[in-house]
Amino acid sequence: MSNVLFGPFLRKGSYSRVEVLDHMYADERFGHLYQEAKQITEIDELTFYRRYLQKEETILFYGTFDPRLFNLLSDEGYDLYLIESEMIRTQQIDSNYRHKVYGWSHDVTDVVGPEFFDRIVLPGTTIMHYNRGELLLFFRNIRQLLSTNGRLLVSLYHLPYLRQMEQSISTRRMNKTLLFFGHYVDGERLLFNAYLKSGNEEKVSYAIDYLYKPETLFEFAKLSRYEGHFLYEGNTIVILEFRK
Amino acid sequence: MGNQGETIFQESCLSFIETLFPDESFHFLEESKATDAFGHHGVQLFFSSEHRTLKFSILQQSHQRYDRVFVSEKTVQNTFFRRLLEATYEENQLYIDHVVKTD
Repeated sequence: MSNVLFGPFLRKGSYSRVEVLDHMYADERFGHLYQEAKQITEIDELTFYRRYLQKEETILFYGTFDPRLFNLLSDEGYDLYLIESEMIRTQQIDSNYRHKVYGWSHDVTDVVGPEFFDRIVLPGTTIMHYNRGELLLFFRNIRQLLSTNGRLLVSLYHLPYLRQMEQSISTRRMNKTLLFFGHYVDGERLLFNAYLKSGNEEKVSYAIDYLYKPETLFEFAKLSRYEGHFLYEGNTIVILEFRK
Repeated sequence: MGNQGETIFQESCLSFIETLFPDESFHFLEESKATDAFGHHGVQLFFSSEHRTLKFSILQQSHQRYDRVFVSEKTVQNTFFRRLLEATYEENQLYIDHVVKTD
């Protein structure tokens, strides 16, 4: 536990009365908090996608994606698909678009065939969930989903911003639940810890991300024959695009 | 899902299929465990009749209250699968969450 929890969260987790959850989505309140905390605030996602995506393209989203954005962009005529394994994160998807939401990529390929998507977008910092081994597999395996000239879009936290962010612990109140959360940079990893208290109920959970420089992603992607470049360099994030 | 759990799940699927297609006789074809392009683990079970093959894809959920199940079909006329419905598997029983509408 000490390798995934830090500071006050580690102390809380050591108490027998506090339940430790190994997955943020094991409790919906942690799930909502995590989704909120991982959203990029530096840019307006809706404006960005409106500028970046083309309506005649077939686009696959994978990762922490706001269902309201999915509905809105779909209403505007964008041909969006979504892969989301956790059912609780798809319940706000409009019923008109539920048939374009899948649990995993095998089902998509079985329905639409290989190399179907013009673009794959990993919103937020989803790409940081992968460790190095998983990242190599990811770049290789999604080739089967991307069309011949397909493009992949990912975002990364800017490392100096993370150093600032890890100094603070934030609080949030959801109905009768009080939540505390924070980040900690542990070598190559970024730990996200959260604690909740509601009456006598106390829980701690965590998520692990991996820190990458853009250059590292470019090198990894090159091994699977992608060409990567910067699309946006900001204070808190960088957005990268990879061409198949 | 252990061996016993898999057998029970298989029986639940067959019972579910009999309700959906009462006029067809299905048999269990195969089971495969796989990891998808994004790194998610899942299990697929295939059942076949004279007219169609049904695929049940099962994904565990983090909260562990139920598993998520996608049911698709392929007939001899189609090259690809067509999704039929999404269900949940809870206490050895499949429940329909929603029927998939297609364009």
